[in-house]
Amino acid sequence: MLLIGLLHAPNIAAADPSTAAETKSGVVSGVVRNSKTNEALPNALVILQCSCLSGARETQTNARGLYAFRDLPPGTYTIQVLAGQADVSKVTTLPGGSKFRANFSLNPKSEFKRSIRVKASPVRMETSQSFSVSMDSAGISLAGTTGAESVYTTQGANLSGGGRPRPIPPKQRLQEMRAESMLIAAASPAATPEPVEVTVAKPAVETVVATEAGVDNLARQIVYSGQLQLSVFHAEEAVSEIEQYVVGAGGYVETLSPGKLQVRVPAAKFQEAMTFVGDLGRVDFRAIHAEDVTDDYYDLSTRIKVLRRTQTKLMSLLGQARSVKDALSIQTALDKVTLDLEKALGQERLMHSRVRYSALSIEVAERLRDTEPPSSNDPFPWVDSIGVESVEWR
Amino acid sequence: MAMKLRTILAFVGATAIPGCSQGLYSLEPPLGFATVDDDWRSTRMKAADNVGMSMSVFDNVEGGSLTYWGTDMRRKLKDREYALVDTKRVVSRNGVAGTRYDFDYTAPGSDVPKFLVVVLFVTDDYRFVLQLAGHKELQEQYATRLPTTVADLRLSGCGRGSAICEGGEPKPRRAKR
Repeated sequence: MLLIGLLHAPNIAAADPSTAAETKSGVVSGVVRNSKTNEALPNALVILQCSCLSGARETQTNARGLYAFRDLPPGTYTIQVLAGQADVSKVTTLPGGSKFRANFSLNPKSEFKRSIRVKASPVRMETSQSFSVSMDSAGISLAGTTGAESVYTTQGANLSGGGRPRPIPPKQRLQEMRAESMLIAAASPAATPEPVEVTVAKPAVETVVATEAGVDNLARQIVYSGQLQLSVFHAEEAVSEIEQYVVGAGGYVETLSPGKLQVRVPAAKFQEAMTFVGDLGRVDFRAIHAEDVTDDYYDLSTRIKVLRRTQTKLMSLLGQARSVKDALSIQTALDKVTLDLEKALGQERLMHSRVRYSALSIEVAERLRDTEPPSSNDPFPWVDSIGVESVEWR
Repeated sequence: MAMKLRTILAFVGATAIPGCSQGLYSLEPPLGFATVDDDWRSTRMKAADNVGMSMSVFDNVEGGSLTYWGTDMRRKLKDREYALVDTKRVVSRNGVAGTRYDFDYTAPGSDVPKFLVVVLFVTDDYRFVLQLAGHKELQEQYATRLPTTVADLRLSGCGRGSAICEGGEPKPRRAKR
């Protein structure tokens, strides 16, 4: 272990212009390996979740088993890795502007789910304080922390230098830290214990996760929709009953206007909903439409996989860029791929929602009042055609 | 057989009547009305201020009389919230007895009063319903023209010495031997 030394406040304070830029410059990266063979695991799905993000971020490990998430705001993150049958998660708190390396070692053939919680998280220190930087074989750690599972690295760490991230020379790291004006240190050695592992006997990959990851099984994807026109004696009461039923069935009302509803109900309860609504009055019109979107669904899944691979590759290339020009060029391409991926993911979510929730369009009309013309059992309905309505012009 | 013969004769005869409507009746448009459509069993007319007049013809059935159909009509219109305010006996040009009913009416959910005048004639073969309707405030203006229109009406379907056409009840049928 090499002790780097102490940093003095004036040097750092001068290079710390703003904290705004730091709020979204965090990085989580690491390598995923096979615990049996210790070989890098390519194409493992890595999902990053945090309440501080607008949605989950996803990526795949590259050929060397590496992954990275950049531009992260501070917050508590769950890093989940799905590879084969394995499902491993880590939870950590990422201070503003810091980098966290989360390496995973898992067995893709394992049918167990494992969660690792990194309890103590480093806190950001004021620049007037000094701190120590040390380095071990897994990389650089601060204030005496060790181990590849809890190491903070600086931006620019060479992720392409073999199957395992290379340690960064302390001097280089120190310079980079100065340049980024980030001072991260552990609060105390006691606050950074070794990761705690929890093993839970549970199927590794849940269906929903698999679907969102675009690795769904080959089930048919059918979008059901229905239309009902109903005559009731009390339209408002009927509409209210329909609303209550839909919410109770786990669905929701999309639009509601006098006498018209557009609702969505779970696909499993579609027929039940049609029956319930039909029983509220006299059904004047009823139609059901089923659309098979299986081909579109899998086309989209394939597109997402390709985009993810491209994104991962570009991120890898970005780490290897040696000039600003190259970096900008790669970043532009990466932005485009990321945008396309987000769009595709949005389409996938929409399609998934359409499959899971069937649309039901309902029109409710009020039946004739008691004062209206007599019912059709009148043998002489001739008076129905007599009256102001049939004579006066409007 | 007799009914069919009367109808044929009425049709043939009506073609010789100026202003007749396809043979079952003759109806001249009152002053201020234009004919909108006119077919075998109905005529619809319209005044410039949307007051409407119409004639409708329905088949009579055995046992149907002016009293019977008048009662049927009044009861059903009452169920529809038409308020009967006046009745009068009228006679067509060719001597068929009828009844004029004056109703007030306000549609449910509306506060605009309307008037409806129904003149009902019953012959052996047909029921003739002449209607006049519009805004209540226009009733007096148009109702005064109605007696002339009614007095000019010629209606078909009466047998010789028909009690029904005179406003009475049909004669009891003789038992077949």
